[in-house]
Amino acid sequence: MGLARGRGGGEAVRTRDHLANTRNLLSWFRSGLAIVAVGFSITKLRLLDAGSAGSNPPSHLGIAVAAVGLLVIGVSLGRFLQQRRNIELADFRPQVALDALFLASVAVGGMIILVLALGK
Amino acid sequence: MTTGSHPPERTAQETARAREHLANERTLLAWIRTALALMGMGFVVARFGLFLRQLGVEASRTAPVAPGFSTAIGVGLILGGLLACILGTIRFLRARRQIELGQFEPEAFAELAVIGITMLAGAALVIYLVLTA
Repeated sequence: MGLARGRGGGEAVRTRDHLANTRNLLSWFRSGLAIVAVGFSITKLRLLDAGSAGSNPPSHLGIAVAAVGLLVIGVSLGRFLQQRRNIELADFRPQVALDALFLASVAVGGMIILVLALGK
Repeated sequence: MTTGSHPPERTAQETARAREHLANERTLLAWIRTALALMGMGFVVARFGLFLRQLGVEASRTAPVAPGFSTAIGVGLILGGLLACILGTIRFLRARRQIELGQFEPEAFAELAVIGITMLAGAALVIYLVLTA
């Protein structure tokens, strides 16, 4: 009857753990989608300013950003499935390194975009 | 037990049950936010290509790409959002029953389906960007 599953706080805690895991996945998914949207905007908006092509960000930048967004979505799905198993096994491991890496990448990417947006 | 303005004491079990249902509702809201994000993104992708074409900006660049390509990607994303709405709601109602029965079954079908369709549309979007940039 599932008595051995979860981290030992009973069925209610296990249920909440799984629901929280789903919410985290959806949050990561939205973050990845937002990054794809940024990549799309960078690539498409530079076409509007085609006259002054020299000062525009290179097109590979937007494509790379969109690809990173897809990567974030893919990695978050893998983590979701892994955490799902770990919740059942009562073996949850916070993956701080990956979160820190993601946040640092967003910060660096934001600075690059800022430079390109202001640079004329 | 004194009667008065104090509410009746809740048992630990009742507290746990309430928190499970609230967590379930938060999850439903997360699904709805995800669906809205997908639909918004899909609309922009579907319409922005049209906008650029009407401005005549993209005319020379989109030659190798069919004009309906970005519309198809956008529609795919919007359908993904619709799927997220439907599957999220089904999941919410099912989890509600399972919480009452005390037998929660973690599923991944809704997550896999929505992420699958988004990854397909996203891959097509990157290819589209490469072809038109």
